[in-house]
Amino acid sequence: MFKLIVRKELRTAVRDVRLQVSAVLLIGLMCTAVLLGRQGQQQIQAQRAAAQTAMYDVWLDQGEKHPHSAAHYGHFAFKPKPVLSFLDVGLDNYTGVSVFLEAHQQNEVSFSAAQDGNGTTRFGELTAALILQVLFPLLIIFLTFNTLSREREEGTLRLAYAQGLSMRRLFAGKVAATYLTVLLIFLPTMVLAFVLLYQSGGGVAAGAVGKLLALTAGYAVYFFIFVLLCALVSAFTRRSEVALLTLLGLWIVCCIVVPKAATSLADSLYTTPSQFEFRRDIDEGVAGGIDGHNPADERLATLKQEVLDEYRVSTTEELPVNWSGIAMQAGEEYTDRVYDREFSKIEHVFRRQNRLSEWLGFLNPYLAIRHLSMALAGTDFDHHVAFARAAEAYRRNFVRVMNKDMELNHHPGIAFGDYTRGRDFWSTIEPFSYELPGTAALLAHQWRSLAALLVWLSALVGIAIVFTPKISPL
Amino acid sequence: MNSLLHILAFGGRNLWRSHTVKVLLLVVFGTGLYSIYFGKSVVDDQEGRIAQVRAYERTQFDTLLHWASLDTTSAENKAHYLQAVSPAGAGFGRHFTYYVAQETPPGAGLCLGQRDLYPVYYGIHVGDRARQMNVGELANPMKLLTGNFDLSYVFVFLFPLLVVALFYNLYAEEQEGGTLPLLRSQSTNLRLILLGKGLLQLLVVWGSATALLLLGFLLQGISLVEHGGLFLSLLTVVLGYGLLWTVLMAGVVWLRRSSALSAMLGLGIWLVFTLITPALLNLILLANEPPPNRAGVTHAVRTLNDRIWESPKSFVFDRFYAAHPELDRGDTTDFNRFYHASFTLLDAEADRLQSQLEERVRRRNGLLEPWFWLAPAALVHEQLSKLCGTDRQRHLDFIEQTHDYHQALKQLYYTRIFSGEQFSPEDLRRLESEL
Amino acid sequence: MLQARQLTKTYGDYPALQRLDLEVKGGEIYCLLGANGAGKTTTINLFMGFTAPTAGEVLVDGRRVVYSNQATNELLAYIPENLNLYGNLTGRENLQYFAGLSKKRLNGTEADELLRSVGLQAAATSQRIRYYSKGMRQKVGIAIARAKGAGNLLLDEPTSGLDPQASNDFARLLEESRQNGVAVLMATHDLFRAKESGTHIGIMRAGRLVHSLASREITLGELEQLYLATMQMDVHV
Repeated sequence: MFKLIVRKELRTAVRDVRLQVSAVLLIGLMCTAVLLGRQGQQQIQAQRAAAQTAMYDVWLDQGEKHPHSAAHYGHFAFKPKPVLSFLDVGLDNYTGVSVFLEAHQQNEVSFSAAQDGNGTTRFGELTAALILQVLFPLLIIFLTFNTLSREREEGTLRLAYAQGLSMRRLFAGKVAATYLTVLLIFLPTMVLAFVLLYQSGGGVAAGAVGKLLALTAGYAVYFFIFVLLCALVSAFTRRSEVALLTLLGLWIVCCIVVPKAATSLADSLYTTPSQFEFRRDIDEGVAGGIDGHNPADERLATLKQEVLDEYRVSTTEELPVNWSGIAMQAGEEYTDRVYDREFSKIEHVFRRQNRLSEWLGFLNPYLAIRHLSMALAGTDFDHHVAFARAAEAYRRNFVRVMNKDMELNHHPGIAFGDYTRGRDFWSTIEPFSYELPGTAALLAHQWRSLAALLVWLSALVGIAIVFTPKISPL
Repeated sequence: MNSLLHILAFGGRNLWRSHTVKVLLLVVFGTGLYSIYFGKSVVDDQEGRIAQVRAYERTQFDTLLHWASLDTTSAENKAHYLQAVSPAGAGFGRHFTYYVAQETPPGAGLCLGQRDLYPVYYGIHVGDRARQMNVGELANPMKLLTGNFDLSYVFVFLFPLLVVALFYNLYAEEQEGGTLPLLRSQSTNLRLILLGKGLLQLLVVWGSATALLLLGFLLQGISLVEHGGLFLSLLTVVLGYGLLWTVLMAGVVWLRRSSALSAMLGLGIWLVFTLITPALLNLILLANEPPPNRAGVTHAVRTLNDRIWESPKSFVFDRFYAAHPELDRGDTTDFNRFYHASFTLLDAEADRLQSQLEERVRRRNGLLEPWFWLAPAALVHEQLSKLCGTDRQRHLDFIEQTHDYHQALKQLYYTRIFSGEQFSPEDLRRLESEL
Repeated sequence: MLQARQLTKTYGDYPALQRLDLEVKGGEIYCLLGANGAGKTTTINLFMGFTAPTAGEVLVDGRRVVYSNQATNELLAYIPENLNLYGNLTGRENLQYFAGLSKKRLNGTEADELLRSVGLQAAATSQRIRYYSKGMRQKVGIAIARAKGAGNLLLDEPTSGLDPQASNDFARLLEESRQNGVAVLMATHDLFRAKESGTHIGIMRAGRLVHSLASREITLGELEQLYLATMQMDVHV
């Protein structure tokens, strides 16, 4: 009997011209978004990869010079455009894309795409995520708002009831049929996404398939939540118009108003410090410490004494190692400590702001899927921070290697310009590479959103099981 | 005319008693008031940041003035004194960092526009400019992505929804409520009746838009007397936009479909014009022309810098003196002169590349301009940002000002650095008044 | 057999039905007459279990009808006043669907056969319902009821809005069912149809069954007078 209902519902749906038109439009829009998005993503990734390689070559070809000069000359890290970002561009347009890495200084990851755009950029790119998160619920509303209320209005509900059909079974059948319809519109695009991933050649990026599968599953759950929600509203509303207006109102609140209100609220709850404060705090933190270029400082004096004692000599000139190299590395490490402390503070503020909308996922499933989707696509805040940290770690490493070489090999008495290293030494620094966090780690970070989706799912299923027998046929 | 007045009178009474309209207006004014508060709080925050750097600048400069008047017998005092009076600063340190802030435009709180993407101040000293300008403001990217809940958002996104909600059943309610046959049987033309009802709804839309804008000015403390022109321009844009949506919804009503279908159609149009077309345009732009790589400028500057440091000092001096013969005193060895002259070379290189890059960005953004009419929401938002002084161009103007400021700063410092003069306390005071 | 015992239904303070006693045996057609709001539809809804009685009970073939327990529904067939069916499905598909809901699987031929037996044109069976006239839809309704093979049939103003020809066809089909031993309870406004088709007639007023008589005991003229007199009667609640 369940099959009978599902078949009938599907048949009615397939014959609905309005559904036909909207399905074709949606699929068309989705395919456009996925194809163009992939094209854009590949171009940007190619551009950044080429820039990254070119910059490494420049590093190798910088010629003979003092290792400290090389550390000043520095390096670049370009943020790889995550392979799944074509499905959900997330924060990518608002986070920087490259960072200049040099001695003594932590530069910020800069040049976000939004800064180069005009006002239209703020309207976002048409990605599969936008369609799946915002437009699909609307499609679902459109498919389900009158699924039961209309049968009630037309009397067919009474007839079906008279035929002995239980309301719970009818509800289940309708939910299943609507859900199948939604999947039929949704899945082809995901298949297309899979094909595009495989087709690009050079193998699929590690973890991308798993993430895409998780993404697909996430959206599948999200749609099921919406189908259930809409069907329940339709089942317990007297008139179809009322059901429609209720659902549309809910949609506007969930998908349009609340996300914006949530971030606005988070911003006023947890104040973001200014760039000025951030830099000032670092400067003040460092001022209490040592600076490689300024040997007048107390810490430096202590360190100097320690080094002199260690080698049992009385002046730095007598040292078998290069004192400036040691001093500079100590300065680096002290700055790093201060920087890490301040950076964590900022990160903490942003995380607390984002938490608010993650928790709100329990009230609004749109927010839950939004965070989850961004995380899986590799375009959320965690990914940005992971990149920034990887770039900074790379900087610290090459600066350390340069300082160490200076310490050990640039012997006292040799003029700065007379001690040089070349390509062989530069090539001991590996090219910068950054791996996206794995699926498991990333889902662990997203437990709030995952839990929110599951709570929604189980709550609605529970409500449906308990209350659907009470659907009135009249 | 008489019958239109008659329709308006009764329609108005009907509208006044409608719970739906009351709820809608409550929602619109609720969100509107929140958005006004939010806009104000962001602007206050930006002003707070400006005040913070100004205060810092003030205390630092006072310290400098104090140092310049110190008795130099003690070593510590001597170091401070030198820091204050040497235009090149002591050691690798700079003499002083000045803060240039962009004043908050009067309407910024109503439409925050692009202002949250950029810093509202820069710390400027005589060093190479690219490095000083290459800083962003700290902002949660999540918030930048989601955008601001300001009054322009209410006007651009939520008002069209109000129009849709008011108009979708203009015809359908008569049909579904069963009053249609009765209306048809009267001597007044049905179209006139619908027109009358539509006019009333438009008045509701316009009235609440005007009221909200007025509230925005009053609550944010923007003087209507001083900025009356701004008020009128904003009002014109907002009312025009409301009219556009009314016309679109009139098209939906004209189809005479059921209320459910009309609501879906209205919402569909809303989706297309506020969400889909701008996003589609951005996507097409992205797929066809990826944004330029700005790191190129940083790379060019560091490469030049590397060359400067790896070459003999004449590399810098030859070029610098050729361009600035008035500063040439024949010195080719002094470190501070060399160091500062090198900044001018770096600035020139950065300027050249930066303007090329800006040209590319301008061209890239221009690609969309012929298609803007497809995205009225984006168009209107851009227009509101322009009027409120929060669009990207305003930021570019600010950068231009900052460049000029930097140039003037260099003028003042370089004459002293190259002549070897030090600042006297009077000089410093003059410096303060000039900058 | 359909039985109501002291059946009462109130909505808040409003008594929709008061202490109704009624019995319809197999092979009988019982027509309930009465103005709008007299309680006819409420009676039918209570038999169908669409709503719960406030007091009293309803029995179908001796089994008690329990609200939201559809066990007795298999003994009942039902045709509502406005049989709208699914506009996008054909007559055949609608029949197959609804019959399937009561576990009567019909293949295409069986369905067509049944639809023809209720007088639907062969060509119409594969047309979508939205192109059907009201009379055609009612015929599909009868076919659905017949497919179920239930011994009891409940009809809620089935002939309202039908043209005389369709109304007559409908009466004929009803008579066929009666001869097959089906107990029929029909709510109607149509005095003529009640007198012609019904074996028994009940007149309701303000939730009470005021008169109940066999239709052969009375002429159409007398029935009309009795009906009008009942409508003017003062009813003490």
